[in-house]
Amino acid sequence: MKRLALICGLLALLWSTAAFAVPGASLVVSPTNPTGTASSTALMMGFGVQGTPTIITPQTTGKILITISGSVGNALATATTTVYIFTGTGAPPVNGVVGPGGSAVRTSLPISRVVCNSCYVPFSSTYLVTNAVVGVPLWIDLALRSDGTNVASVINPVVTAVEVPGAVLSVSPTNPTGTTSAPGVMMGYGVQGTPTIITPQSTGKILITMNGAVSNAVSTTASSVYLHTGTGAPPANGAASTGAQNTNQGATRFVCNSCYIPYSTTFLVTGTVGVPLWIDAKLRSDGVSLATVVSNVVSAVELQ
Amino acid sequence: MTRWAALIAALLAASPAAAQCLGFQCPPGVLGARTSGDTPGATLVVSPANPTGTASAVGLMMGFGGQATITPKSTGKVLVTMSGAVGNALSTATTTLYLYTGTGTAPANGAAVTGTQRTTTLTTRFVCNGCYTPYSTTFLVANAALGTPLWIDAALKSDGTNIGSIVSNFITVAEIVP
Repeated sequence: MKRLALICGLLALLWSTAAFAVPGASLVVSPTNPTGTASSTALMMGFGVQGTPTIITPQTTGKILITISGSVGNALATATTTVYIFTGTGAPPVNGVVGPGGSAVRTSLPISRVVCNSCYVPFSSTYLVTNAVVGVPLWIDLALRSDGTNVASVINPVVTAVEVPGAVLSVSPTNPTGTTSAPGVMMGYGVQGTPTIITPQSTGKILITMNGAVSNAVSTTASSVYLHTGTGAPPANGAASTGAQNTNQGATRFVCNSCYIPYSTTFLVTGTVGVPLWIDAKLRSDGVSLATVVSNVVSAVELQ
Repeated sequence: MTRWAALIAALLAASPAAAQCLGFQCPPGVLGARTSGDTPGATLVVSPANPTGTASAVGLMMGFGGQATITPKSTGKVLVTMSGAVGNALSTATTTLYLYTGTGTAPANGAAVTGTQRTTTLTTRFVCNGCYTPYSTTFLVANAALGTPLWIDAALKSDGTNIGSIVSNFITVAEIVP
């Protein structure tokens, strides 16, 4: 009996150490190019029922970082196409159906126009599901919406999902006021209702992805999106550039005035444990024309 | 109470929160929390200089691998994201960007494609000659070998005549540790 108690006690201790931690779940799938849709209601692409289904079963924390990237196009250049990430539990949807009950729209990425009929442009969309249920399979899928007449489609999709530990952040800021500023101004995500602030708890290594769609009121004007981070008071919308500029991602020109195209930018920041780190976008135009970003999503995870 | 039971009780009493969490979830200072003595995941963030583009219709390497090399040391699950902007000297030329990884000597700019192709990102046409549009591509290398350097690179393909190029590239790589 004493030995049994000893073994049980030691096992309990070992279980509580990182060396014996259950590994997080992960997934990487390159689905076959799905059949597109002309529907003006978002329809699922059916990645969850393909040969290698995009289904992940959380094992540890239930924090699932998802990225889907590829290229998107439309049979008619002037038709707006919207790309969505959906997740859900239960039976995954097949291609061409409406998202089933209980599923959730995670991101929404508008592409106002493409350069020519059936032209493709790159897209990438990232979302962090913060509360998936451990042990319950979670399907991941794309949905597409067009104009009711012309077929929108995605090609070369790749779906990655990893279960992560540590501090996390998942925020979809309200669309910020744009800017005409040539040096660029901050968008103020750090002072919104759900501020984009993360406090490192263990390693300070924060992997950040910010994505959405960018535009300019004048198609021939370049717009640039920068990923900034900093400590202290986060800047408000319209504030001068502050913090550290980590990445820049620009579009030289757009297909039409106020047309949106996808952007996505990722960076790894080393923060200080216990010190809140704000995350924000800086947007830059030409001093005259209004640049805007919409449908933005900020995801951040602390790596171990 | 036996000596061993007393010892275990004392250890848990020293850090009661340990009984409420697993090692990978425990906050710092709690028994069982990951400490600096554990093997953390490898990470990498690189902003390479803008590489020389290519007109090649078969695709050539961009040569990032000399800088973008990571050595997995914990799980071998390596999450790679490369983002930037892609363009072509001729607006109507299709430009295709590939994410490659490999081991051994990393290829230089302009080398023939080598390694493992992970993703394909297609831009069929651009708004104007020399215009750039944003791109981002992500892949999870699920089983990279521990202790073996893994290079990450882009390959670019154009139409055989007009130069495709990528600028403002950022490569972030993180080994995912539970």
